[in-house]
Amino acid sequence: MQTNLDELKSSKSLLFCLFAVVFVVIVSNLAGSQAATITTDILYVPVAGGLLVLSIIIAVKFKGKGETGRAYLLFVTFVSFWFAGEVVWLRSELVYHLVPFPKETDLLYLAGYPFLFAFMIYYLKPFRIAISKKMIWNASLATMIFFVPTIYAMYSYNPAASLPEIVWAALYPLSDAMILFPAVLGVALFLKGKVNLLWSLCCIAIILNIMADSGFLFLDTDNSVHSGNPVNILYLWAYILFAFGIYSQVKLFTLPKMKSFGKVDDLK
Amino acid sequence: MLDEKSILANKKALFAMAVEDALSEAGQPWNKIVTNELLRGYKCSISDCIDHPEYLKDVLNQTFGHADIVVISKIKKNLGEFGQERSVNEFLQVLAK
Repeated sequence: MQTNLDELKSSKSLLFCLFAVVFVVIVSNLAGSQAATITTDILYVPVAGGLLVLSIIIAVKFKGKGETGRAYLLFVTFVSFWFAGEVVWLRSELVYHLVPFPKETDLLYLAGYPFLFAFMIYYLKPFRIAISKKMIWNASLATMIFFVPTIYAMYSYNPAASLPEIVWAALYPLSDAMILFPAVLGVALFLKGKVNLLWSLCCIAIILNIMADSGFLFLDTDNSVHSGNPVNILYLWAYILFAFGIYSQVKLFTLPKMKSFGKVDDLK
Repeated sequence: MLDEKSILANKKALFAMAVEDALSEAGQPWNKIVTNELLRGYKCSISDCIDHPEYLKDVLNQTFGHADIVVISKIKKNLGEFGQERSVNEFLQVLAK
């Protein structure tokens, strides 16, 4: 009962965070593209920072012990790269007014992907014998559903863009599609378990990233993109979903309240 | 000669070790998580589950979902030859259901 109540509270908080992001980004866009750029760039720091703090908390709780402990150290590294990417982006755009290509932030974001992939592999490793052929087939199918349209889009988007620009932009959706494979495996493996919430939210976050990256690929090729574009809502939502997924794991460590037990004999 | 109480205590300790070892393969903190869930849901500890295997089964399933079979098969492996004993055998049968 207590757990259901906690889950309800968490889902309310999650919905509130998702709506708050939409509200802030849309209102700032109504105020103009410069206001939207400043607001969105700044918004990324607490959102990605919150995820970094939560991932450090869970890594400390697991103390790097066992495969799951090592997995969380990899997750912290992944989030650190992306958080650094957000801070460097903010500094480049708002302080130095630079938009170089390829951006140094791209290197930071792309460097994070192998660590996210490794996190999932290490997490799944102790449970690998429970992975069925059907799960692998479903995960492959889900990956291909996103992989193939992305490859197609890479060639069909604005042909005026240079090949290096298109390849550079396409690296993101392709990397997302690759990390989707272990994420879908995790969802299938831990189905009906409390651990599944982390994997489900990670999976949705990755799909949101694929959609946002594909959107950016489209906008980037005809130079109609700006940092405050509403497509950023998807990136921010992805951070929030990752954060709530990690929070669901942190909550597993919370001890039940002892006062509700009454007599000590009831514990036996 | 060990009295009945000591035998039961030893059996519980052995059983708890088998479960904790199975859980710690993925990481020591999983012990704490499963212990918390048992306490939250059934107000009992891991060693108490020898009398209530359904509690442990339920908590493992609620925590790991389909992946609970990995932990259960490791517990079975850890208990090894003790699995022939009636009480342990009954326990394993409930877990494997």
